[in-house]
Amino acid sequence: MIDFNPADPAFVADPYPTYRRLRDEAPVWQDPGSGLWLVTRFSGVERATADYAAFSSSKGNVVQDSPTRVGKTLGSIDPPRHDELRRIIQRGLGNARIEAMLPGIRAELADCMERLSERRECDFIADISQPILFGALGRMLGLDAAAAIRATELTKGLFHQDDGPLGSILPPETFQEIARFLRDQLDNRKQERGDDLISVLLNAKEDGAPLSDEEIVANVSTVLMAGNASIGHFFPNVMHALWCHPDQRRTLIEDPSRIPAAIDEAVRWDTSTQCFARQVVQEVEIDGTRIPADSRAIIFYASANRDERVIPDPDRFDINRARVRHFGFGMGPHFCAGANAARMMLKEIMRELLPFLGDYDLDTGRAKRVSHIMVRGFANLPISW
Amino acid sequence: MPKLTIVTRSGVEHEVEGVAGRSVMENIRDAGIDELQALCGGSCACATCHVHLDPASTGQVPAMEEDEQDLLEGSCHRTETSRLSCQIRLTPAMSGLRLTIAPEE
Ligand code: HEM
Ligand code: FES
Repeated sequence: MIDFNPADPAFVADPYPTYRRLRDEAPVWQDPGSGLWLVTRFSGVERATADYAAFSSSKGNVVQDSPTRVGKTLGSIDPPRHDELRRIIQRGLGNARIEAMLPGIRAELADCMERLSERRECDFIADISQPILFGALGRMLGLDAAAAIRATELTKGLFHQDDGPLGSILPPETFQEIARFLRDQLDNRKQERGDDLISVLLNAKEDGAPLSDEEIVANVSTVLMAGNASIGHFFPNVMHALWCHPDQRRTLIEDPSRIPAAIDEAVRWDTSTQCFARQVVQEVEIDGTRIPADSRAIIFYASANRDERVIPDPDRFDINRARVRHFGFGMGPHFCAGANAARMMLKEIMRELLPFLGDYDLDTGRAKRVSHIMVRGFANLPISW
Repeated sequence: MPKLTIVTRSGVEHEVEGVAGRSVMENIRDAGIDELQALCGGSCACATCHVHLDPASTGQVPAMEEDEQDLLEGSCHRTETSRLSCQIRLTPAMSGLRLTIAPEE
């Protein structure tokens, strides 16, 4: 008998024992409460991410996607159209473009450390992670100061509202407000181009790329949300992983060239994007279980990342582990388009921040975790140093 | 079997017996060289399987498709002989191929 209750505080605090039980006893399991099919083994997750003909993204990739986005965002279209659109958007997130943003991020970081220079404690989320990452995101999208604040407000509730652990990730009216906000940004860029992502997409469109204004708005909204929810929850998770492993934290201060390996291991060990959804559009059998057509499946990247069938000693966090394949950034055609951007930004930030915070302490007793099943992360995280 | 010479970032050379039909990326990974990340598993979506071909080897491989070109364009370490190793399927005619793993971004 599987006891699965994503609202249980024990699950929110540590979902990994539940994932293990599912992997061992029912690697493809239908939750009687929600009707959702949970896929938790490495083999099943690998299959689902590759077999997009059966595991379609066309109904969106979050548990319940918004009608304002489905069919327009990368995460809610299947190949071949997906691949065509992906090429255009990937160009706007290329490494050379991110590298050009790094001096701005460094300046933002210096401001942040200046503000904290007299303090010995703060909330890691509100006082460190959000100002730096929102600044970076605003830069990526070419937002001025007022627009950056507005974007922050619009996305603040993402995964933090009270629609339950399997619910909608934002209220429908907020989705619409985000679309309106980005539509205005798009109109501004039509008047005056910059070298931000919106301008890059507009230029591509003018050069003949098959891309509608609605698609630009919807995909930029993904970047806004990913930049908020995915990296915004992941950054504190890295800091948490290192706090749990002070020896490895010290190694990084002594040898910053190990930081990329630490980021990669943290994405495997405790990713912020625990699972994504797919629509099963034709009957499939995976890991010995049949899923009927027209089912909703949830693909647990965070569980596959800890599958002892494939990854040796998977519960150990070890920045020196031999490279393993994992799903922290997804896999297959929908592999995270911002993976390199996120890695480059975090590397830059951590190189400065780790020596500044030294042997920092986290007060996990007073921290609050996000309780949506798709996300693992903190709503607040008291830190002292 | 096609032979490959893989030079790691630190300059260590590995001579490996490649398996035709598998991608160069998979061949590098199968040889136990773990510095090639290949994060997306060969979907032409991550550019972390970036290699620099030896100039003498460039004629042995088919030309790039547009999506590979696009992805490489964004890389900070692109050179004239840059390729994404997941996009090259090894054939017997590629024996003697020599490549260096590109620096990490
Ligand atoms: C700069 C920050 C980021 C941006 C702009 C970004 C952007 C995106 C985009 C556009 C997609 C859709 C790709 C597609 O469907 O083709 C995506 C997917 C994904 N991202 Fe990110 N991302 C960012 C950070 C992250 C981080 C930090 C993580 C995890 C720690 C992450 C995990 C994922 C995963 C797992 C998917 C796959 C979704 C699926 O399977 O449907 N992302 N990201
Ligand atoms: S493995 Fe990702 S592009 Fe080659």
